[in-house]
Amino acid sequence: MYTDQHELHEFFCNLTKKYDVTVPQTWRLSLQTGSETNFCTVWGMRGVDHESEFVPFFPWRFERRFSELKQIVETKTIENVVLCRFSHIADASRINLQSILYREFDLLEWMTNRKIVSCFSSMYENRFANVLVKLSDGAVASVEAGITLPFGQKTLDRHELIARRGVASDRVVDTQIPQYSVYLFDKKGVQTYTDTDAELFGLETDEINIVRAAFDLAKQPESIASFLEQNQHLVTLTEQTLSSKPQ
Amino acid sequence: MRPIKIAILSLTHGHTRKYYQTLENSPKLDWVAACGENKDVINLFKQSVSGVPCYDNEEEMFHQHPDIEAVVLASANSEHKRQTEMCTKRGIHVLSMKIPTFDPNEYDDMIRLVDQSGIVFQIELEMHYNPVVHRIKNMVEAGMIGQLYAFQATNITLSPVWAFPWQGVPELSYGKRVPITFGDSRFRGGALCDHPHIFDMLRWLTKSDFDFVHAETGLNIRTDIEVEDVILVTGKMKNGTTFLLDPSWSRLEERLAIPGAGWEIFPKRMEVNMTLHGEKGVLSADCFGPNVYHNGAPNDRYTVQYTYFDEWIGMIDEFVDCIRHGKQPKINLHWHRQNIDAMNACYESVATNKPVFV
Repeated sequence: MYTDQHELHEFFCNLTKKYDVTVPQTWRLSLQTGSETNFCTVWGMRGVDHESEFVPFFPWRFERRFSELKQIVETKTIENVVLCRFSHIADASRINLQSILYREFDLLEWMTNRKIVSCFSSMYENRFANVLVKLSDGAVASVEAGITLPFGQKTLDRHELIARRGVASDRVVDTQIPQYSVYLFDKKGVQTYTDTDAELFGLETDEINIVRAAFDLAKQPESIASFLEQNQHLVTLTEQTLSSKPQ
Repeated sequence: MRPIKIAILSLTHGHTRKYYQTLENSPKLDWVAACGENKDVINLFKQSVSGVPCYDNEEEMFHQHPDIEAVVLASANSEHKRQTEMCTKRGIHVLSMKIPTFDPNEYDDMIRLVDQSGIVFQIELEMHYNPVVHRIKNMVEAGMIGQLYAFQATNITLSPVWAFPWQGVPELSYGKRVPITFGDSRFRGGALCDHPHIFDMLRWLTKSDFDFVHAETGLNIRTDIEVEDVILVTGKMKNGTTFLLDPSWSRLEERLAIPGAGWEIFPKRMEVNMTLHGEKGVLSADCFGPNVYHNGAPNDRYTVQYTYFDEWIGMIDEFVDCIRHGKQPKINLHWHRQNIDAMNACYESVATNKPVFV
């Protein structure tokens, strides 16, 4: 799915050099998965305080559509969010169900600036989870998470925030699928491109997010403690969600 | 075929104005009378329809028009049992609005009355006559996405309570005043009661019945109504399909007494979207799209102008066919019972904060 971790690390190093941000030599941009993270795929920085330490970060927070949605809430462009509707459907070769839930739960809490206080999930094996979430202020959310798209299909996702004043969404009204910046119609069919970062031009959106998140951590290492705490919270939430069953 | 002599009762339901068009235009119907529940709806009727007498008393209407063969119950949910009893006594066929009643005992009484009388009782769940739904059904039955894993559907609209006040009155919408949860100031009878379609579609498309539901209401978008306007439902069907339904009134509206252009604040006033996930692929559908768009009168707001095919054509075709040929409609009281049971289970789930087996 991603460009090689070493290659992404090079992009990260280039940014730190360009903006004169000092980073210890031990820092390595890397990926962690396994039982420690409930098999969520977590991007982060290894070797922060000592060689084995891994500090997770949350790359999606650097995707422009999400930071804009967060800003729409923070600046009260929409007011009093009471319902969030999230969906993330992917090809199983790209991501697992745990990692989708980890990401969407983080986005939900980060965008609304609220904590998840309860989750109920109805699942089909480890392929699909329909999750109802309650937030700390009583608002509710739905998260549709699945790995049911056929191999090679681009991920389909949607994030909608419904408030007492206004609705914000990353999808166009009256459409079902994401839009792209560029469409090429040729003999091979349709090719699409979405270019959102001139400084990291050529990388895919997910890759750009990883490099930007790493760079932000380098600029603001004081975030480390809260990131570690949020990671543990998300791993627990994901675990509880996947194991919820009706009694 | 001889047209069915038909009347419409009450005139208080949100679909009443749609029936003005249907009853006037269908060559299979002969619209002979109407009966309004109050002066306001009778005045509105007289402004909209000419050549059809409108009464303020059902008995008087039936007395003056003994040839009436069928009626449309365009009334609040709380009226359906009484009106059904009246029709079964007279042998008059019924096209009912989408919620016969939420009371299980009343529902059983209605089944008994209808079965004993032999009338045709068809329930207005118009999605069955939607061409996009036909396509989805064909694709699922042809095995194009394989065995179903998961299903999601929205039936999200603006709230009709300002134009059709009974939909915001728990006793008239739900049948009685039941708090959403202990200590909550809201009562059953809101968005969930308005949107049975996706419960019905879920069963129809999966060919399975509900196993359990889990529902959450959260906070209301509209803080000045007595009933819930946000509700989310998840659960499983007996065949293992997991589902997520959103029947919320999550699109804001101008508080118009008479619906019309400019009713919506959000550009799209109504959506029924479905996504079906199977072993071979994913099927995503907008049952009322694609559409056209404008930002003109009356509010100069970007607005979705719908283009969809009139579902009432197929519904009336079936109703007339059942009456003339003694058939049972697809959407009858027996079929719909489990949809209503599942909706009641959603309310119970909200009240207990637990999943409820149906």
